[in-house]
Amino acid sequence: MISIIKRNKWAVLLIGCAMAVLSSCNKDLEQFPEAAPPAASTSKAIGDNLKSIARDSLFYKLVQRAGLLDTLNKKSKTFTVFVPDSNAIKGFLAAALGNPAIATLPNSAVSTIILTQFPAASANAIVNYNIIPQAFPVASFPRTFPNVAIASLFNPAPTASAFLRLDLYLYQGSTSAYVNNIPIVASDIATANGLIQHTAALLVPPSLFLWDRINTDADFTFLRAAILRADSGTTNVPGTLNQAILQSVLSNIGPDLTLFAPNNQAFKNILYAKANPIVYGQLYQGAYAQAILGGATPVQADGIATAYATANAPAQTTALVSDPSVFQNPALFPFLPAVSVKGILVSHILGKRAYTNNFPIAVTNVPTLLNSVIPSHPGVALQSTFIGLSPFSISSTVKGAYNPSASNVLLNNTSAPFGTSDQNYLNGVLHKIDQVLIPAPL
Amino acid sequence: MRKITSYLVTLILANILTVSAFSQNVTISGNIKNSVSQENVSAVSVTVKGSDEGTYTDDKGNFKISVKSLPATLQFTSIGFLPQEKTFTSASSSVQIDFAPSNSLGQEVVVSASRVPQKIMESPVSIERVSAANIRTSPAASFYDVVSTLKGVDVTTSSITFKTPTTRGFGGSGNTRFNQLVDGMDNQAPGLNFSVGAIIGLSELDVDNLELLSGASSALYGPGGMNGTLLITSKNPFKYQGFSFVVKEGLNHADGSERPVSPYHDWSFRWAKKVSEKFAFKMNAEILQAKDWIGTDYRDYDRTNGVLKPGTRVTDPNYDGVNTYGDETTADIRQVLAGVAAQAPFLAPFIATLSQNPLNVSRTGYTEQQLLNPNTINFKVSGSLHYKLSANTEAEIAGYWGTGNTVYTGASRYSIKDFKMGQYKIDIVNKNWMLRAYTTQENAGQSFNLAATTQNFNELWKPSGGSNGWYAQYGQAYLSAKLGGASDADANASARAVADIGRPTIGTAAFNTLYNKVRKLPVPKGGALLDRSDLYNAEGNYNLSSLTKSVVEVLVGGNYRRYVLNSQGTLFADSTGPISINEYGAYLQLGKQITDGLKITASGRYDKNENFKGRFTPRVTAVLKLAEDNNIRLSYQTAYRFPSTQQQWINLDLNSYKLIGGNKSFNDYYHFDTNPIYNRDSLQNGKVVPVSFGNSKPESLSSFEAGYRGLVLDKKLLIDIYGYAGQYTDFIGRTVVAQSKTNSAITPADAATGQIYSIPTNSSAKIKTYGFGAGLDYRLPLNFTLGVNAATDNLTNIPSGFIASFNSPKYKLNASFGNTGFGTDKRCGFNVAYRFQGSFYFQGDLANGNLPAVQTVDAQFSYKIPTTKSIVKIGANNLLNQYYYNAVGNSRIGGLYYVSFGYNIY
Repeated sequence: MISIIKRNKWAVLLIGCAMAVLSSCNKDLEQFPEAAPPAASTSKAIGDNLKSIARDSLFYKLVQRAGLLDTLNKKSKTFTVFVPDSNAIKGFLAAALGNPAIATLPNSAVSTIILTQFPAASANAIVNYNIIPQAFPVASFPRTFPNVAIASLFNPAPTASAFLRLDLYLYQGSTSAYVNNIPIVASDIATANGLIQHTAALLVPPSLFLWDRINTDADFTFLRAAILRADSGTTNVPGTLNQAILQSVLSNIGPDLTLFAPNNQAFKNILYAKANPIVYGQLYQGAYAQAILGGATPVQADGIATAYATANAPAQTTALVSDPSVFQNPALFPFLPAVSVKGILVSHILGKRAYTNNFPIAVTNVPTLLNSVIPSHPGVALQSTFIGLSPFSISSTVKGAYNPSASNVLLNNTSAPFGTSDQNYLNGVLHKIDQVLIPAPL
Repeated sequence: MRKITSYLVTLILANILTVSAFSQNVTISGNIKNSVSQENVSAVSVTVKGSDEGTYTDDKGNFKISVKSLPATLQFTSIGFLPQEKTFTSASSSVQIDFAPSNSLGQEVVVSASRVPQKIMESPVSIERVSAANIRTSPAASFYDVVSTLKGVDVTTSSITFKTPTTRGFGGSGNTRFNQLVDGMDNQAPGLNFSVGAIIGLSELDVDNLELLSGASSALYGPGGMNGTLLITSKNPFKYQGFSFVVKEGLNHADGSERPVSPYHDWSFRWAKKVSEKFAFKMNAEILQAKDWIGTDYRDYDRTNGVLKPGTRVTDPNYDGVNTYGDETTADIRQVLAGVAAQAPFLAPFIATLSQNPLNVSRTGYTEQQLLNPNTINFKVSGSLHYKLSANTEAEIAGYWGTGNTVYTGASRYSIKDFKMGQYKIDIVNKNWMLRAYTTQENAGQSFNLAATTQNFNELWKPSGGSNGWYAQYGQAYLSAKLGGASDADANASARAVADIGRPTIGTAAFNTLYNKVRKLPVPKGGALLDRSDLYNAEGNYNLSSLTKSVVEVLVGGNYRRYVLNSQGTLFADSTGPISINEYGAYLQLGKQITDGLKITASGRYDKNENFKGRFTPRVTAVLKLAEDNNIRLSYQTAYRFPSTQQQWINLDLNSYKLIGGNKSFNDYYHFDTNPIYNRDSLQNGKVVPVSFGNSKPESLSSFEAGYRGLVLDKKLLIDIYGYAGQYTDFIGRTVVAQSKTNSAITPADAATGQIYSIPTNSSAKIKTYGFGAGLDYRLPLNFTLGVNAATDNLTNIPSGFIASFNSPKYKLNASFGNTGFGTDKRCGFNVAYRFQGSFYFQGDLANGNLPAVQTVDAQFSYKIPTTKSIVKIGANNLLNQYYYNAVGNSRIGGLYYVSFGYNIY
């Protein structure tokens, strides 16, 4: 064998070369480089960030109380958290716990209150309401009317539906960015798992419906009566004004509305204007007939009737419209048909939630629910006025298509019962106004 | 025509009757031994010089032949030995002939190159021959694998028993451009369209030789054979007699990376007996059992665009693994989210932020490894009866039957389970003519499509659609996770976990019950193929040269073929009954020895298929003899093929699209006249491009070839060089089209939402091909052998975006070094074979992608036991266990190691 190999050295050499070639293994199939998973951020997660920022310390306690610290520290998740400063938290707690002294307590004392006295469930609801499950830098907030609604983490009725969420409304105005009607004072604080947006106030989740406010506010008794009148005789015909029952719409979660709610005086004013000629006419006819029966000539009777009606109509008209029951007066039904009332009322409702800070600075017509049946209707004209860099509107108006002048939004964004603008409810926002909006010639 | 037929019949009868009239009265007997090893030499041709009379030595080297008178000269010839003559003056006792082995090259005689026997050195076209001796000394575990060592051959391995060879490109499982004939019978499954040479055919012990014609060969072998023809011929029982067997035991999965180390069993036997000088028979059986290779390509596949992409089941919610199944089902969960938004308007804006781009999600699949029974069993049996009508005329009745399970790759992976196919023939062969009739009977058994089965399995377990369907559950869980701040990856993982709750686990009774139910349901509701298609063929030829030799050599022939497609609507559009397709053809070959050094052959063939116009394919060849055993060959050949039976009649609903044939009947069936079809790719780009249907034509190839084959260095070095160039016309491919589902005007959206079809189309481009190759075989002293061959194949002029599926590496190389006898009594032998194929881009119906270069080493060492003509062999295929693929989506091939014992091997 050895001699054979010796005689065939070159062949052995060839085999050796071949084996050398083979020492390079067959390559495996071409593999595609996977996009590297984002490296675990070395920066702090939202929870730890809140802990480390003095301004956010009370909100951090609220997060602890809510049991959401682990959630906010998960780097695999992404959130945008709206965080008010400690003073805002104190103010909220003072009102919520009915203890004005809290507003002046040191943070350490308030922390203890949060962790011991403030209900954990409430803390959980509030914190969840201040969180969006996405990273939303301010630059992505829309500048178009009215805003973008993004679901918060807060589910007000988990047993009803796992998907129920209350939305937050993001908007970027000319002077500030907003979540709902609250300005963002410092934006896009980056963390390992999302963004922190510093806000001017705590976002408190609503727990009531628009109807709850209308039903209980003494200044909305006419509005309430008008709604009931509008709903009377509803035949629920799809595609017409009879389709929706206003009270139901205003009483349930699902719709997301802006209600321009005329106060009682506004209703009285328009009712007076509408009723006075009718009352005057009836008084005139009654006085005229009586004068003729008394032997007066027609000319004399006209003079008597005119004087009588002129003297008594204002008082009687005032008396007639001074009570919301005017809408239930059958004698007036021919003059206040339910469908007309509903037509007027739906022209007070926008199908989107618009806070006063979302109103355009130039007068702009926007559609109302009336446009769902009259698409060509001009809707209502909105405008807000800002001064300088102030994020708050100093004047907001809304004008019906046939109102001679714009109605004022009665600005007061404090909580009910005193608040009159940007009143946040489960199914919409309410702005009290001083005129009934007139969508069509009366 | 009738006159011609009558004339041929008369000639045939004259042949039989003439040669039947001979008589013999002196018997010479003897024994032939190898002069070196003293072992008996069987199957030696013993002929009486100057006559047609002859016989063969039996398995003990004995012969007995009758001659008319003494003295008589007998000629002894056998490949591997020097020819010998001996004159006998008496017949009184048995004589012993010492037969001297020869190590010279180029002695082989081939038949397929011109349909008449001729020395391989004088073949007018490129041809390779593998003899039984080559198979014996090859390290390949299966004789079929020896083909892969031939010059210019590519082999696509779908599984351990399913291998598809091709030459000059277009490799792939079930290549329809490459013919395989076993004992003259086309062994392509008539319905499934793949050749079954490795699983239904001859056992290794019965293989006499393989002849491989590279390139176009339609002019002699009819439609198909665009790229080559492999002819496998079995051993004649008159020549090869006795009882033989081989027991081969081995193992694979040696490193245990995919399966535990698994045994490999391959047992076969052959028994042939010459009962008399006129009657002989043989029977064969082989059973192979092994644990199959597995497709383990889990890369992510973009099925819409036909490209691989980054991603895994974890990172891509729309993951569609090449070798995972069920995940072909995909949907955009924005539909689910939109439904939620409609019911919960407060979520609509949030959902809108999630829905800016498609959220395509695939169902969870199962891997091939999980789904396929790893046990591969292949059982084949064959037998034949041979009767000599005269010294030159032999009648044969033969049957070949096989069954088993294997894996095939088409548009999906197919588990070919309990597949059965039989081929039965009767033929009469005279030295001048041949008549043959055969039939192929196919039964797909319980074969099923893995993708369709698993997709339907998923649907049966949990429907994709519906308010509580898999996608609804997924979409809602995804939204829920996103509402909790989860990342996309986590949300998808969470959603999949929710939607997959209750998903049957592999191996459980619940899984097996459901899966077995679905795989037995015919597509489209399940995955079963109920194919029972048949083929009937009759053919004959006559070599008139004995009559016309003074002027020209003449060979005429013809055939008739009938396909009967019968899949009960599960594969073909034959739900109302079997579909028949008739073809016939005839050919004429003229040969003329112009001078001593120049022979020219011209042939032509006309074929007609009832669904297509007739085609004529000419061939002209020339052989220029430079010197003894040094020849230059030149040829112009054409080849063509009718669209395969599937390309004509397939009607397969693959859920995401319908795979249909090109027969005009589909025009009415799918209302293409009134609801037209449009190019889907163009629609995706916003362009509306109508596609006409029903105009498919046969494709053809015109090819020029030049080659040189010569013996040099004292006839110890055989050189074979060739080069070719060709052009395809009406190349058959497929086009994806879209149709409106609502019979309205087509829109770009229909590219996704319309009814999608894959239809056969002919390319108008003149696709060109060229290549060359060279082979060297060197006989070294002391029985050492050295062989090297290399080849390149190329395809050019391919239109942009055209899917040619050329599937051939630019370069491939084989090298072998061995010894046919060394040591004591030269009993030892060995062979080492190295193969390299370059990387290339593979295009297949299942998947496309780059295939890396492959190198393999096969080796064997053998030891002969002369007294019983036994051989003990230890061998390895892919010795270094370097796993490789040769098609995207196919099995991953590792090392196979075996020890075999063969008894009475010759």
